Amino acid sequence: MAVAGRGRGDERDVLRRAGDASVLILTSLADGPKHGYALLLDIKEFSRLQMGPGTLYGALDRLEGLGLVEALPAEDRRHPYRITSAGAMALRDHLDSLERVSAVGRLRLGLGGV
Amino acid sequence: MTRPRQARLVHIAVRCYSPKWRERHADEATELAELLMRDGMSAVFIALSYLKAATRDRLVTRPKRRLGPTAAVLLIGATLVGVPLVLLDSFTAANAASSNESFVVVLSGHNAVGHLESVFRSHHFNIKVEGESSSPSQIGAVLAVKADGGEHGTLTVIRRSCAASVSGCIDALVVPLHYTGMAQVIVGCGPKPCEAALAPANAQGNRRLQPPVISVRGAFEH
Repeated sequence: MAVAGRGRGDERDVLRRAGDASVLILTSLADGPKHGYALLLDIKEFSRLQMGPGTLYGALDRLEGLGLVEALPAEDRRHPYRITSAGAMALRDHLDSLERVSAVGRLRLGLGGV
Repeated sequence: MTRPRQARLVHIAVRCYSPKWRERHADEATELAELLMRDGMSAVFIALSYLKAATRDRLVTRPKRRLGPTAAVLLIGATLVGVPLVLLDSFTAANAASSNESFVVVLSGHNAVGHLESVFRSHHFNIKVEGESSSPSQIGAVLAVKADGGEHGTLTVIRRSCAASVSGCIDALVVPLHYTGMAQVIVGCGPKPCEAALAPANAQGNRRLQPPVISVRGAFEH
């Protein structure tokens, strides 16, 4: 299937290609700064996914490079991370995009919605 | 696997990251691994997660960076008894300049000679492995490496400081993928004759590796 173009929402959705780990991390950071261990525990709690520590640091580096999270001064050996305003906006756009897909999927499955 | 050996496994994995990454994250990553192991997460799972991410860190996230010679990386955590043999999972680096291949190997102490022989043979390296009687703490450890330079690079030894040896203990062998030189690797053996510790041979005379064997492809700079 050819895709002729992308809608405005897709263009804004910078997390579209960032991977699931990035979305999970931003979601976790949405309610306040966390360091690596707290992030993994929180992600496991709300998503039931056990993210590997290597995946975590890889995604954090990517998100930091995109300016979507920032590292706070270290506490002992731990660096807490905070979502930036650009990160919050990117997460909101991505969740909007997921909601649209989710609504269509539920409708087509006869589960209601939209 | 005992706690020190779990920690050693994680330490080896973290050392596979670039120096820049280690400078920033190594302490925190090690502490995180300790906390996760305390919670019951497998040290092998943690180490594999770091090793895969380290390979990506070196290959994928720096598309403009020139890759060093393609190499086979053999990390020998020879004292990690209980982890028979781990070769990382394979994946393709989209921006790699050529076909890249690397291996991370963690050997069990009781059959290190057999495992190493099999790994070298399966990749057609002309590297001879010999056992040598050693103290219990060095059973399965690589005691020495003698290598002649080949046409396609040289075999490199990565050491870490340790109490057992003034010159340091060998953590890893970096073998260029197309290494053609001759080499000899001496591995510590227990009180039994080293040959007795080898895996049984099959009908074709090839020794069988003990499962699980997971393989990883990628490239490392060295």
